[in-house]
Amino acid sequence: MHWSWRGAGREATALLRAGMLVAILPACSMHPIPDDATRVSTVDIVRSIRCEALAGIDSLRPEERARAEPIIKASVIGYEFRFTMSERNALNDGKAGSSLLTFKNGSAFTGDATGSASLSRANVRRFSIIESLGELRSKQNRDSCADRAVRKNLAYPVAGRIGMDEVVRTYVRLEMLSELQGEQSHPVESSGTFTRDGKHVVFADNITFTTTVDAAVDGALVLAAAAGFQLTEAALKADASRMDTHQVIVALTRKEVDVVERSRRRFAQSRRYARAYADRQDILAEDKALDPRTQALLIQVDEAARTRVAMELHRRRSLDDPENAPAEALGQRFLDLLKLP
Amino acid sequence: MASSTLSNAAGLAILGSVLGLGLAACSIRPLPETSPLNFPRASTYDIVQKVRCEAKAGLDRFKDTELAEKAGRTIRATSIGYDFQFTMQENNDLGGNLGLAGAAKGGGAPSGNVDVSGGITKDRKNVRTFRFIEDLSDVAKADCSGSSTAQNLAFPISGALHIDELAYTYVRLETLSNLRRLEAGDHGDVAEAEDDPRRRVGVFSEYLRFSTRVEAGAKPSVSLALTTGSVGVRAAGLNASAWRTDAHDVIIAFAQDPAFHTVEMQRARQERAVLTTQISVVGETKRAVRAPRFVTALAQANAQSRNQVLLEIARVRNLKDNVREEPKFLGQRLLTFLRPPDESQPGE
Repeated sequence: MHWSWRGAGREATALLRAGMLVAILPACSMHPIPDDATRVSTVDIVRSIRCEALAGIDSLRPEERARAEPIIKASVIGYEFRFTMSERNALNDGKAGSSLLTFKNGSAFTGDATGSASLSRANVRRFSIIESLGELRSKQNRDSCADRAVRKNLAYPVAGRIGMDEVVRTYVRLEMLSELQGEQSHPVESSGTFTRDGKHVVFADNITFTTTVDAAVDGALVLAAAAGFQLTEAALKADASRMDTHQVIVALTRKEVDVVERSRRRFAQSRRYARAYADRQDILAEDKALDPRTQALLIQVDEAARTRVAMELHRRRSLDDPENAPAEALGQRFLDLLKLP
Repeated sequence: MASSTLSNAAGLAILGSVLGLGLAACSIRPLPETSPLNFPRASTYDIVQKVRCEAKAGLDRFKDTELAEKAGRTIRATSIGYDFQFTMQENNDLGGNLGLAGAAKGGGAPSGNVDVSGGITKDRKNVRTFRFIEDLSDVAKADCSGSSTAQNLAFPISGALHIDELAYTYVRLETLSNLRRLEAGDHGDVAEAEDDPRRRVGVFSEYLRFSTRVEAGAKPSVSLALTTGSVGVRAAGLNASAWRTDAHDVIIAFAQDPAFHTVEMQRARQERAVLTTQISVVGETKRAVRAPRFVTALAQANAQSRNQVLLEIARVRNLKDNVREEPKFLGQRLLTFLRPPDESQPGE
C-alpha cells in the first residue's frame, strides 16, 4: 500500500471518522440501562434469576425431596438488585484548547482549530423482591420458565445464567444438614412442618459483576507543506468507555417465628429455646447490647422470615453502599487527625 | 517476513492470553469450588459437612475413656455456632493496541501515526455469608461415614481444618475446674478434674482466616520496521491478565447453658444481673456498670447458651467490620452535627 500525499485531506477525514466511531461505539446511549450492554431487559434478568432458583429446587435428588419439602414451604427468598451503569465519551481528553487541525499559509499565517468534548451519563437502578421460595413452583412461574434456555454470558454475567440454582440447592441442603441431625427430643410441630427454634440460619450471597469496555484512537498526521493556504497537521484523540456494575444480593431463611408463636403452649417441650427467646427480649428491653449491629442481630433472630430477609438484605447492602462513602471518608480523615504523629 | 513475524507473535500472544485467563479466573460467579486451587472440588455444603464432622471426631475422642460421662454432660449442655464468610473475587483484563504509521517516500521519519487501542475488564465478586447455631449433641450424632479429608495448604478451607482439636480442647477445658498434677494414666494433654466439672463458665471461640491469591498474565508486543512510502503496522501489543483472591473467614463459638452450672455459679450470675439492670435514680435511669462493652459482656455471660454463641459471633464479626464501620459511624455523626438544625432528619 502506498502513501498518497495527494489524498492527505481524505486521510484526515478518515482519521476524524475513525475517532468519531471509537468515541461512540462502546458508549452511545442517552439513558444507560442494562439493555444497552447486555441486550437483555431488567425484567428478563429477574425472570431468569427466578427460573434459576426454581431449577435449584428441581435439582434436588429424589431422595432429598421429601425431606426438603417442609423447608422449601417455610422458606423465603429475597433479592436486592443494584445496577450501576456509566458511560463516558471524550474528545482530546476534554481539555479545552486542544488542537485539532493546523492550517498554514507559508510562514505568514498559522491557524489552529481547537476542539474538545467530554460527556458522561450515569444511572443507578435499584429494587428488591421478597417472596416465598415455594411460590417459585407455581404453574405460572413454571410456564414462564419452560421455554427459557439461558446460557452463560461471559462478558455480562447477569444477562445469562449466574448459578442461582446452586445458591438455593446449597441453602436447602445446609438446612437439611442441621435439621436432620437434630436431636428429636426437642422438636416443635407446626402445620406439618417439623422444625426447631433457634437455628438462626440466614444464607446470603452478595454477587457483584463489573464489566468495563473501552476503546480509544489517538492519531496525528503531518502533511507535506505546499504553497498557499493549506491544512498541514491533523490530530485527534478520542476515547470512550462504559462501565456496568451489576450487584445482586440474595438472602434465604425460613419461618421460625411462626413455630414459636403457634407453639407457645408447647414451650414446656422446648424450654431451652423458650428461655433463649425470653433472654433475647430481656437483653433488648434492658438495653444491655449497646452496639447497634448486635441489637439488630438480636431483633433479626426473632422476626418473621420476610423481615429477617429484608434485614439481611439491608445489612449486606449497607456494608458497601456508596452512599456511605462520604461519611466513611470524613470519619477516616477525622480518625487520622486524632492519631499521634 | 514481517507479516510472518507478526503472525507468530500474535499466535503466541493469543495462546499466552488464553492460558493466563483460563488458569486464574474462568468462572461466571466465583464459588469455592471454582477456584483452581480447590482440589478436590469442595462445595460450600462439603465444607460445612467437613467442619461438623471434624468437630464430631473431636467429641468422639472421649468415647470409651474415663472422661466419657463428664464430657457427655458438657456436650449435652453446650451450643455451637458457626459463622462463615467466603469472599471470592476474580478479575480478567484483556487489552490490545495497534500502532499504524505512514512513512514518507525517501526514507524520512513517519509522518503520520494512528494508535488504536481497546480493552475489556471483567470483575466478579461474591461474598457468601451464613451462620447457624445448633446443639453440640446434634454434632455428636452427625452422620459422617466416609468423611475424611487431607490438608490443602494452597486452599485450606477445602481440606482438614483440625476442628476436631478445637472441639476436643473445648470439652477438655470445660471438664477442667480444679487442676491437679498430671499423673500416670491421665489421658490427653491436661489433667482430669478432681471434682464437679460444672464450674467453668464462658464462651470459647476461634476465628479462622485464610486468604489465597493466584494470578497469571501475558503481555506480548511486537515492533515492525516499515518500508518507505507505505502505510502499515508499526507496533502491536496484547495484554491479558487474570487473578483470583479467596478470603475465607470462619468463626466457631461454644457456650454452655447457665442451668448447667453449680449453685456457686448461679449466684455469680445473679450478681451480674444486678450489675446490668437499669434502676431509676431521681428520675434518671442508671446501671451500676456503664461501659458499653462491659455491659454487653456481662449480659452475654448470663445469657442462654445459644444467645451467648450468637453474641460472641456478633462481637467477633463486629471487630472485623469495625475497620470500615467506625469511620462510617463517626463520619455520619459529624455530618449530622454539622447540618443546620432545620435540615436534620427525624431521629437524628
